[in-house]
Amino acid sequence: MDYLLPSSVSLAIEQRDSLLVNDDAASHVTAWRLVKTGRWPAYSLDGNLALLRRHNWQRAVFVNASPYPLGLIADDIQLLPAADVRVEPFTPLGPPPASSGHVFSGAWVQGSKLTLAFQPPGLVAYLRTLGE
Amino acid sequence: MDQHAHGPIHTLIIPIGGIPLLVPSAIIAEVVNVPELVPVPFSPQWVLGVVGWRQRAVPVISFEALMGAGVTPPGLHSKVMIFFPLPGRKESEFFGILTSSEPQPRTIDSTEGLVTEPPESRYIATCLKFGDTLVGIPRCKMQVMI
Repeated sequence: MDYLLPSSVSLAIEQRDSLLVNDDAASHVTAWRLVKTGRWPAYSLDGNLALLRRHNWQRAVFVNASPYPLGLIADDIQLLPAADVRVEPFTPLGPPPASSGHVFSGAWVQGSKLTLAFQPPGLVAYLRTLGE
Repeated sequence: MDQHAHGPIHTLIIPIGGIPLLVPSAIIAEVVNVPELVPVPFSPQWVLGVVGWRQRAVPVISFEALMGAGVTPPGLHSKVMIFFPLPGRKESEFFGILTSSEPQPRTIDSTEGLVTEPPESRYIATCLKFGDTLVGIPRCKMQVMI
């Protein structure tokens, strides 16, 4: 599954070899980005945004968050010019998964193809619930 | 009540799993073939997914699943009925209901002869009987439940 993430909240895109892979099979964290003040977790999720432990990944995108950024493992990351993307508002039905609201707030519709757009506060709140 | 005061009402009978629904045609934006349903993570079971329609993302629901029955996947004759946003919702909040087959138009000229029956679901305001056909009128407040 592809998802859109606003570039304004993307703090860093790191290649796998820049990260510390987590060998703890019981942990929810797939890899860590080591920084001077500590470490930022990166999570591997499936198309339904459920935790999915996997080994064949290449990069992670870290989202600006407080008290520390959170990362998403990605197969591929494409940077799209703003002029090429038109995101229309979309409100998911049902209750949100976390206190900061829904994980999605928009969608990009290109003919028959539809890509959901993350709502950063909702995404961060959800990732925060995954813990370590 | 004067049964002729409001003139004929153009409605659509929406076949779904279980009791068909009866809605005014005026609240339907379009009836379309079932496009690709994109799953929306964290959605309730009765949300089948979201589809692209006129450059918008429109969630599609299974009304029978909303009422507690199982989800019936789209069939060969299924359609998606796109509803205008309900009162109180945002202008962008169109939504769709999956049907089991083509909806049927029905003009109600008069309330004479119509028999009402109590609904069995909180999502149905009342049921009407046209001869042998029993239909359910969705509750207008379902926007709150959704």
